[in-house]
Amino acid sequence: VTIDITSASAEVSGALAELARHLARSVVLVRGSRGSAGSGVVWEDGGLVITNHHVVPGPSAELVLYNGDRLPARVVARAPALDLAALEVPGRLPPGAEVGDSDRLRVGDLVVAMGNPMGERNAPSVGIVVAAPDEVLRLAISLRPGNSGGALVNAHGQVVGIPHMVTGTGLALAVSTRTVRRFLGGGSQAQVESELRWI
Amino acid sequence: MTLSERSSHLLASLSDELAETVQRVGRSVVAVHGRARLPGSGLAWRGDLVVTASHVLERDADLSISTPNQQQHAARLIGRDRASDLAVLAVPGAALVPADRAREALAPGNLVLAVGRPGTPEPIASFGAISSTGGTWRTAQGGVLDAYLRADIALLPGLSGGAIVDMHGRLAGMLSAQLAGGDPVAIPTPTLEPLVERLVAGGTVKRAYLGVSTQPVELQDGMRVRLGLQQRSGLMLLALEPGAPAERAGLLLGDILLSIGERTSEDGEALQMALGPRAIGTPTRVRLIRGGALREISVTPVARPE
Repeated sequence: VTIDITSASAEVSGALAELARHLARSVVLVRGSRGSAGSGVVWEDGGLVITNHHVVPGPSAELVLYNGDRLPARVVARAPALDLAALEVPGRLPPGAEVGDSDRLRVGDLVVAMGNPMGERNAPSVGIVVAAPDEVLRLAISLRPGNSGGALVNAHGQVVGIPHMVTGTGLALAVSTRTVRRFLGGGSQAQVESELRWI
Repeated sequence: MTLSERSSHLLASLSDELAETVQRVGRSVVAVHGRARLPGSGLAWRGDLVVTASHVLERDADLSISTPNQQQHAARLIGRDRASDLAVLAVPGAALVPADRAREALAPGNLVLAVGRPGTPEPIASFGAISSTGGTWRTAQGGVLDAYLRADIALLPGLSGGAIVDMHGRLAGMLSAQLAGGDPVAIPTPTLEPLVERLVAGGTVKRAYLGVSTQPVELQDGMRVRLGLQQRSGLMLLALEPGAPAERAGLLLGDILLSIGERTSEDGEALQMALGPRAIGTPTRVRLIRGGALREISVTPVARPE
């Protein structure tokens, strides 16, 4: 019996490590033009990097990829009210993360966040969904500054949210991918920076 | 970029089981309305009985609960013990469904879910591991409990009075955000059961009482060696209440208490710990030094007078 229990937890542990390795390729370190830093996630088809508005307060940022490559990026859209921003780079981005359906999350579902907390590269943390999903996801997970803008994935490794806030009570908040899709579809109060520049 | 099928299946199964456990346990966790701000949580203990944390009840009357299927029922406070942060509510006609209770003790490293219902339609939950367990301890409110569970879980607002459950969804204890001054600590089910029964029977949790006033004194090295004692201090009796158990048992001013039952009494804290509710009416062996010699006397503590 002991052997079975050990192997079950060892398998879960191994699977989490595999998930973390896979996810790391789609998560970038974001350095904002005004000294801010956080994380970003390469979005599905690989064309854009999604991060938090508060991670990139200025018009440009530098991205550091999982292999150490540095790329200049510019903000092409932002929605301060949703705390979301989209970045574009001139070069090729790594493969994008698969995006899941945040509305299908249930209370108790396992989630993994990946970002760059306190400057630590690609650090995973494990937690669960606290309450029924909405525009914002409520999570019991340990997140720190630098996790902002990174990836929050479900047990299948699909992105379901963008971590953006922690409270003092162990509760963390993430922008749901439902909200990100609305932001990217233009059906929100997103300002398109490229248009703003023409004014 | 996808995970291997094996890993994905394994993590998805774990995720499913966690979510299903939250739903199942959530059927036995109610919302407790007894304060102005966010409601607390409560455990369905019997069909018509709810156990909750005393501190979530900021009033004694005008109390109610919401059941998992969104029905609100008036509740009557039938007993509370602030020192153990425990309260029992009678909810006639609620037809609640209690959770199965865990029989085996949890150990550090065991995974647990905390499940609450702070007035939300869905239960809320957090997840982690047992970080420590232990025996008799003093709560932040000055109570004495004979065991605790401490878990590495997010103590979300409104979780107090909710359930800590094992991976089978069995009730391992009741959570309180205040018993250990803000640490996520639970009263284990086996400790909870007799406390709840006492509250149901008598309305309060009585503490045991000897009727003594004491002061810690350091034992002389020579005396310790001569008497073969390990402990470095004892409690000297400075006053004895007339007619109280200590005096009736023949204890005298100046006696130095060394132990009560199995517990050494090196300081007043240790004496308090020895006088939990279970000591009431139980003949208890007291070991002491009188006139430089060891003595043993049997004392039967009574319930502390109000």
